[in-house]
Amino acid sequence: MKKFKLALATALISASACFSALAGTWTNIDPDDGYEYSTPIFYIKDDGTYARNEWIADNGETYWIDSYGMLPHYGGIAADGVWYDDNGKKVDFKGNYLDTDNISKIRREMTYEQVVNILGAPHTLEKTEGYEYFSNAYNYINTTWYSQDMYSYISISFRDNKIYSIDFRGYYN
Amino acid sequence: MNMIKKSSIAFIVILIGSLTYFTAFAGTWTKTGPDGYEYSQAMSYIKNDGSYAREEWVQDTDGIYYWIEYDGLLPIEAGISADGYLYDGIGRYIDFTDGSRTYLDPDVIPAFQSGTTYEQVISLLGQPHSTVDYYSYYYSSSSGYDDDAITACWYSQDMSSCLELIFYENQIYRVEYHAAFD
Repeated sequence: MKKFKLALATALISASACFSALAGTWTNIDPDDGYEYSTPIFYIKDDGTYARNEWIADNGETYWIDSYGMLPHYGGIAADGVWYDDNGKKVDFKGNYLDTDNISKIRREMTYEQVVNILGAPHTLEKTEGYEYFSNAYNYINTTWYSQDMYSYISISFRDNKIYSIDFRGYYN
Repeated sequence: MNMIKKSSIAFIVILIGSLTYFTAFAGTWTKTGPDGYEYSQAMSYIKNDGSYAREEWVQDTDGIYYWIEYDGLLPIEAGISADGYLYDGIGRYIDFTDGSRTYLDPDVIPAFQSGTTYEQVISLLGQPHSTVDYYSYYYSSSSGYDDDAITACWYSQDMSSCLELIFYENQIYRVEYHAAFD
């Protein structure tokens, strides 16, 4: 019985060790000059080296790390041709690119579901529940859709499932 | 002789008086903010009594009125003055009295087709509320567009929405639209 418990504990420890190894660590120290940034935008892999020019998986999300070892703060195309957004997250276009002609169908009173019916599933989605603001608690949904070239986008945030703010940038040729 | 002397003194008095009056009326733009901070361009206005203009309209030498915020600085984005008038992204009064301008409808997201011209947009939205190229204005450098690019902005009456269009060779090139509702 004791042996079994020990074995289980060992298995647990190695499993957790393995997990942290897989997850890697975010750090605010620049690998090239040691400069300390205010936010952790560099990623140390399980072998102790900094991630560069590669995708890393963290907390269920996939992020692009550029050749400086840095998480990008502008959207762009990774070396393998896949897009990442303003937070470095891999963009899954889900087959529906933003068509700027559809923008005019959106109305101020619309719900998240109504907007999704027009634009398709969002390319980025963040939900915040029970955010407190002046003694009121609100539920927020922040969404973004990108055009295929990523130059155009619309970000819509919903508060209690009603449009709260819209940011749209469109390029026309 | 005595006569001449008297009249020239009187003349000088009039000159000084009118000079003082003119400077007093015009006021002075300054890069030094009320807190002593040195801005890269004139952001504050010193009135004839030597005090900084705060939360009030001042008239520039070209006749245009500018809104000065309570902190004694020009606004850096469009808004509504304390007395209820709209100003653009550099504090300029937007005149809605002559009928050439209309407010942006806050309920509709403006969408345009490729190839839409400046004139077509104006027939739809009225004269722009502002045609300041803000990038060039604040960074004192070119926005990267040619000189024949036109920047035009429209605002809703409650300032909840703003639309900025950039036209290049008289065709729509870029749209930026921001709306925040409460």
